Amino acid sequence: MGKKKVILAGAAMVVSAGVLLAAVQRLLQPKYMTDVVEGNLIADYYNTGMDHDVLFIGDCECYENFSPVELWEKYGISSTIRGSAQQLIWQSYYLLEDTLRYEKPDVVVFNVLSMKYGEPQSEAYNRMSIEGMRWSKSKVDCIKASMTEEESFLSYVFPILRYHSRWSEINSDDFKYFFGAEPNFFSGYYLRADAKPAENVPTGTPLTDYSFSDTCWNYLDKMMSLCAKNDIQLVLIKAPSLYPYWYDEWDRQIRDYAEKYHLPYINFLDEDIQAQIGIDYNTDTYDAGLHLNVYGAEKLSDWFGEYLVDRYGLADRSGEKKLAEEWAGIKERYDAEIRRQLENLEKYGNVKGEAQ
Amino acid sequence: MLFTDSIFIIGLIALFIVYFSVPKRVRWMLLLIGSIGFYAYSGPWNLIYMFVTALSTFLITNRISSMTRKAKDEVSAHKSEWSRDEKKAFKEKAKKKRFRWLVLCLLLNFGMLAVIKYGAFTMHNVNTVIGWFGGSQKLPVHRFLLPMGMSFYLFQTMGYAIDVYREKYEAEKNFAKLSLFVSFFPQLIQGPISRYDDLSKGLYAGNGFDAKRVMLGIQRILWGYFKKVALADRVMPAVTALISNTDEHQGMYVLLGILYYSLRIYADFTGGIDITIGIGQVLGIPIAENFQRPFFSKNITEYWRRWHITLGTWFKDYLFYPVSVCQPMLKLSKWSRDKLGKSVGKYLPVYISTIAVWFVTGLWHGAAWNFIVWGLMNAVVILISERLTPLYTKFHKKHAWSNTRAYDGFMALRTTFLMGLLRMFDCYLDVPLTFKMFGTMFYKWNPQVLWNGSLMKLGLGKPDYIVLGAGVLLLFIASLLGRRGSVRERLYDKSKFLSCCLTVALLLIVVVFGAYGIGYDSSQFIYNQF
Amino acid sequence: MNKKIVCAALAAMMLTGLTACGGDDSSSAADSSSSVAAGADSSAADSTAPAASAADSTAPAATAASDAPADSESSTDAAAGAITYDYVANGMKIVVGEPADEIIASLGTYDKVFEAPSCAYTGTSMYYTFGGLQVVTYPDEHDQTLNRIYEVDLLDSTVATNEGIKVGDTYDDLIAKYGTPTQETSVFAMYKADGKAVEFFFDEKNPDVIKEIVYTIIIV
Repeated sequence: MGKKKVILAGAAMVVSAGVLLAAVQRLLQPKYMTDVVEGNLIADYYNTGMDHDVLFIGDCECYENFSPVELWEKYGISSTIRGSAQQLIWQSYYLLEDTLRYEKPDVVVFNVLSMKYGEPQSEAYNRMSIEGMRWSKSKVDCIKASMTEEESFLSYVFPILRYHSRWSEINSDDFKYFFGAEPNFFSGYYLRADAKPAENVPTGTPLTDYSFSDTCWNYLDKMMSLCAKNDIQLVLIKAPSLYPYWYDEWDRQIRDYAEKYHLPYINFLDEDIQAQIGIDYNTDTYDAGLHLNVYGAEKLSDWFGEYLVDRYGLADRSGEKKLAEEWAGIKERYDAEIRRQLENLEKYGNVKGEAQ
Repeated sequence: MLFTDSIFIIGLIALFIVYFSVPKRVRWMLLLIGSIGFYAYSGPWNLIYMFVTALSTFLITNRISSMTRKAKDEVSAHKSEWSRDEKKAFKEKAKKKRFRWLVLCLLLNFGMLAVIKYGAFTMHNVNTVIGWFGGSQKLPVHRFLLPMGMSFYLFQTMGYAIDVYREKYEAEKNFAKLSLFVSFFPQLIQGPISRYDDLSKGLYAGNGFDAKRVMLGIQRILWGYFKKVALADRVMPAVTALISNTDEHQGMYVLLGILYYSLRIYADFTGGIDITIGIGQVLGIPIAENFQRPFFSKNITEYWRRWHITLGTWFKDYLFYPVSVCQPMLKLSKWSRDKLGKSVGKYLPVYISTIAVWFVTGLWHGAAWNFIVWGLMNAVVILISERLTPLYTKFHKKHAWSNTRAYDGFMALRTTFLMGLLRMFDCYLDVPLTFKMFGTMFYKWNPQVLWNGSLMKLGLGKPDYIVLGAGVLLLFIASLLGRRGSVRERLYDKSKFLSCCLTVALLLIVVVFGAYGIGYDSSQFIYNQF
Repeated sequence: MNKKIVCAALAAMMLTGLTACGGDDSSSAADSSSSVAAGADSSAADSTAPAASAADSTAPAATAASDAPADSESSTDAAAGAITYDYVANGMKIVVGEPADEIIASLGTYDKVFEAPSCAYTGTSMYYTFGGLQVVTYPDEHDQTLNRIYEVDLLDSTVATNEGIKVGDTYDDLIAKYGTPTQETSVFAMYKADGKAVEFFFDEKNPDVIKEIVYTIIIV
């Protein structure tokens, strides 16, 4: 064989090995369609029109408690949520960075619950919060900040190194959604139409140390200055979830911080505000007070939309044709999903439609 | 650094590319830089030990070589003047002088090993003995962290020094080149213990790119990774479970432990060696084979000719023979022949040498009584079968069925089992526990654990057993085919395309079926601790 | 020992995730910690034998053993001699980090229960209340059907620690029974050893009086 031929053959081999590995990798990656749908939340953003006035960032207390569809329907506010399960504050920060690469919202709303985590927590949640991000410096930084001791950066670049052992769990979803997931969310909102009254919610066990870690404060600072730099109004909130317990000592620290930097901070656990919103924890939560269901989320969004309009003069954009079309599509899926869940509830007693 | 570290794999690929892009004459320097980098990664301070070994060996072997030359010159200068006896006397004297230098070299280097690897163990035992005699004063025990692979590079280097002394070859005059011989990175983790005359040529030559050789080398590397990550690392949790929870895992579990641990150590050690030899092959550096289908051996003597070959030959060449023919041993032999009769006199030196070698072999594996007992047990089995040889011969002559292939297979299984049994000495916590666990095999009858789901409680699930089963079958088939020469080479000669497919398939298998990443403990190669 | 600490730390770290989106993600580390710990303990007794200390090589058993000697050092930070870190109820030891189902069953009928499902996953953290005793469990990360004990809380004076301290007792009562705390501030006193802790919290208005007692894993 001539030298040229050897190089050519070698290159062909390397390329075909690469293609094969990429295909196997895609097959083995979790598809997050039937179980653990929350794994697709972050990637879902890139399918939207990326023209939003309001951006919510935070954990499940964001993506299960606010309904962007309601904000659009009622106030003509185009909003989206970039949240994922147990999203840590630095993940929220880097998602903000990432979002700013595509658009510049007027208001960024950050839910402060994740201030309680000063360290990387769980590999599984890291994966769901990070893997959906498109590659950028923000993603690289996010990975570096989030990795637990057992994780490696390389396995984010080549997820097959993480998911290779799924070969024994491959199912029809892995083939069905090989080329991509179907939309499951409504501008980042995870919809639930069932209800479970909040009872016996435990109060928090006292802690030996209530102070938030320096890491968290740092990222909150960064978030604030990034918003200031981009002329974005940052709004801090604590969502009205009854559990995990939000300690007064924590609340005080956030309140002091907000005061110091003249940031708005709304604690939706405040009884007066709750009365204004009209949340009924017997009907408006689907898991006994952890997260609101769609009825609760709509109530909360109604209140918050008014607040946004009053405070920051957000314009009603329902007259914009292209935007209105996009939202009409989301609204259609949204209504269909509510119908589907209600039918399932009636038929099977659960929203998923699983036979018991 | 381990072979399974991502940094190693990335570094290795980079090294391959750079190696074939730089001029041939500097390629060995690249290897030296790579080796030093590799070793420094495991702890920069470890380089000091290696440097002391390289430098002392370099200086002393060159000193010995020049003394040899001078002595030869002297002899030829006085060729006509000196009588034969005079020449002999001069040579003897010169050799003695050289011997002193060699002893200095050996003492220095093995002394280093003794202190670092065996210091704590020795002190412990001394303290125990002091305790027996009622002493309360304890000697201080300082535990050193054993530098990675020290037993390997040290033995290799000392073998070289002895060879120079024995005038097998001249000492290497380039310190950097000798340093590369000492530190060549693929061998640092698990050996093999190479000989200078075998390794050096390929090491310094700066070999060209040969498509076939590179392809076969890559295949061998991948095969090694397959054994290591898909099999050895996968079975490891079960081994750990079986030997740590000894109250529960008795009887049949001990047998399982033997099986699993045999698989573990075989796949781990031969896999590591495959990676090493494969790297050498890609670079064009022939590295000595360390295994030859050891589990096909019919008896233990044969097994030890086929398992960890380079260690066995090292001990044979540098310990067994010298001990057998040293002055005191010859005297002992003569004395015993006179006093104890001819047959005893004939065997005694062999026995003593054998036991000595196996004592040291055990000690080489680890500074613990487990290993020493393991070594001595090997000696016992070997000596017993040696004594019984005439009986065997008679048996095979008498029974034709004992010469069939089936019986050969039985013998191979028997040897493999026996070696697996002995190996448990370095597996269980200590010697008494090992004996106790062996005992449970006889009085604890619990075969039901094989089918009542207990197997699934050892940290292995169904997918693990599927991979292990298929893997073992693959190893067995590969070994069978390998008896008629390299499978990879035959395939390449037959079809280059299929050879490419094999490479890609191996890569895919390793990546998908390897037990690495989250959920698996990336365990170290067993042998790099020795 | 290092390994053990790391595992306990990891477990603890992940356990704090319990209060995350209601659920948790807890921990591979939690179960590996217990198994590693068990391994190390069982071999600790032999740690003075040469085999155990020297053979840190081949055998995993030996590896575990080599971790063991440091054990004795770490336990020296336990304050008084006989503090127990596993709460005993109905003759059953409630060991933090260990499987919970059998323990919960042995405690009889609970008065109240609260379920906190994990975000995205199927596991559920549970808060069981038996009078003044609250036991919290979390699902194992790998096996979400397996619940492990997260924390034991003594909420009122109807229940006392194994040493006889209960809510309403004073700081002096505590010191008399438990000795000097490993760590204390004006609002709490903590005793810890081997990755476990028992914490006594004092009433803000009456900082001499204990208002709640918690058995938990500590973050190292």
